[in-house]
Amino acid sequence: MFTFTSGSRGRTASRVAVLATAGALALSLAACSSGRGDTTSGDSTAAAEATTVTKFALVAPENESDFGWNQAGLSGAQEAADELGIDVTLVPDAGWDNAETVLGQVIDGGAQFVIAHASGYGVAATSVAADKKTPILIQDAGENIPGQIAVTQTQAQEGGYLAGIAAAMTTKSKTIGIVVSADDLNWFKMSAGFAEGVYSVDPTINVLYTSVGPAAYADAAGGKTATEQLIASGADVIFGMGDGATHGYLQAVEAAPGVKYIADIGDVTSGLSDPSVLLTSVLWNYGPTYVQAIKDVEAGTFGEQGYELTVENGGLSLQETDNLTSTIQSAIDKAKAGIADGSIVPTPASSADEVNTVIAAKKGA
Amino acid sequence: MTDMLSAAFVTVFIASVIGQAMPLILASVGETIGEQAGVLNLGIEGVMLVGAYSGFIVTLTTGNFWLGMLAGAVGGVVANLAMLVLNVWLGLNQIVIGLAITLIGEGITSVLYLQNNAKSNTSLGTAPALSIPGLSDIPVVGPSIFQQSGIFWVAIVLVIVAGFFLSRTNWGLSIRAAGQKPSSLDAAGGSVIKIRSHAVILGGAFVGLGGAYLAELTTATFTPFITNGLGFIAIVITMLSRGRILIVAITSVVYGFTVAVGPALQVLGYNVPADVIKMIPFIVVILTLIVFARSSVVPPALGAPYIRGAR
Repeated sequence: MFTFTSGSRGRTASRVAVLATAGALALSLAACSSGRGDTTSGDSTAAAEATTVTKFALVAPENESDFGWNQAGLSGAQEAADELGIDVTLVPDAGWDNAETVLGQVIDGGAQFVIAHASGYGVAATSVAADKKTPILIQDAGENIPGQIAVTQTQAQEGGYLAGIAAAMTTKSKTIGIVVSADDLNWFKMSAGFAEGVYSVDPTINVLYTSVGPAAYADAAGGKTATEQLIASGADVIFGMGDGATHGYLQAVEAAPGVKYIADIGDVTSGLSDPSVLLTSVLWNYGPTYVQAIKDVEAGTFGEQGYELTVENGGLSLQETDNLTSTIQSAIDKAKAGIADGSIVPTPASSADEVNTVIAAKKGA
Repeated sequence: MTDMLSAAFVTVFIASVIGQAMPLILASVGETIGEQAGVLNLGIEGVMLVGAYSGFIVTLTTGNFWLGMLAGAVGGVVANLAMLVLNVWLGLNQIVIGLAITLIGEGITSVLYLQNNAKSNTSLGTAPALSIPGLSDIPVVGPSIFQQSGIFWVAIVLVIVAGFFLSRTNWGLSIRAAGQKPSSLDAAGGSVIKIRSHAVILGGAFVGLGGAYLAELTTATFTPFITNGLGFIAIVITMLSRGRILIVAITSVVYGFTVAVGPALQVLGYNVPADVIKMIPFIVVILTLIVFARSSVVPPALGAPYIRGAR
């Protein structure tokens, strides 16, 4: 049934003409296209041995339009490059399937230090670092290997805790919603910390938690549906974590008068028609971490220990908006001090069940 | 839990079901028209994406949702031209072309979005609602069904008209003949190529409308790969429905329900794992396939390019 059919000479000639035209177009496009990032040649071995980093690279699976993870990584790398006055090759949209090749290519392109900005890049990065003798910074999970690999972890629950305080002091309906688009360790941490922050202000507040899917990072339609249902359940503050699904959250929030939104990781202001709906965002600032990592590479101590983004070191902070009143801000500052001195220890949940347990127990109250 | 099952919640839930079902209904009707004519379009995912981006960009630029829907239909037709030329006219393999259209649609819409829209506000806002006098005041169903955008009602009418033409007119008979026994249509003086061309163009318009509806009304924005496999679900629904538009609509609504029920269960306090939430619609589709597979009959000439005189 599904076979190529034979036909007349005219039909065959037409097919050949179409295929030839398509082939010529494809070749033209290939010839005109540019490669990913800066692909100038370089000696990787020499780069690994250099003590002064003049060029580094960041490889991210998507781009800054996610208002989140990728945006934070890319802007952090640029910030580090600007601060140190060195070159950076930014490679957004590297995807997930070809990480080893892309990481190798940026090293071949002259990068003396690479940031593999996805937790899923860990295995590939470890292999490339050993093969190319070039230090690579990985995310979330893995082992530090002196000279080759260092791991960045985020105490996301601390940032969530601060956002929870802001949410609790803003809600009028006493119902707050959390929506996540994936089973992501950092989002579990942040959700649990957020709920505890809410309860620290008012344990009678109802916290609702919903997930769009196990890996629905880009499901904007599903994100909108989930957020609309949270709002219909009475939530007037929504804490959304979602990469591309964030677009769906924002549509639902902007269509509901009086509802405020808390973003995570990046700045969503440019994606909002009405920026006043943004209560705040839990910003992740990778810049200082990248600067420190580069200094460690130059000092020859890279990989001896990992790095952390915390409230205390400025890696986590709340975005300032007009909605963060002085009263809210002073409560947040007080909580920051508590986190710094260890009197407040938000729960770093590692699963949805743990998040639900924290919410149900109203821990932090 | 029962406290949260408020009228507002049920209203939003019903609206969510409609929002998820309508793009699927439109896309499945488009696929049905093509399949009844013997053209299996596996590129429907890509065609939907082209329709979605076309509708999105025109609405974003003009602020007019109707123009956006029109652009979505045109985008769907343009995307389906590859199927028209390469399969219907030149007789190349439908499966290969369909998969190519999917990949091209995914790629080109992602590139266009990332180049033109990724760093700016892509919110389309809410389409103007059309309140049906009397009915829109009914609790729950009033605001969820009878305060939908006018586009919703036009889409419903288009689906009904397509169903009528497909089953009750000579044109519909020709469409079905082109899929059932094209040589008979040819012998009776009809042009199989012409009829299949009509089906591919009209089918493309419906699929494009489905994509545009998804971007403009269901999501109110566009993101790369926004269809999330909806096109492939439409193919399954089309095959199960055997050309009957009513079955297409019912199955699509069931799908919409399964998509909307996942987050609803969580919000209502049921601790349902995210994996299960995402699986529910596909489990329903698989169960439907298992139950109804034996009664699923596709047109005998489906997938076979028509060559006059070929055996």
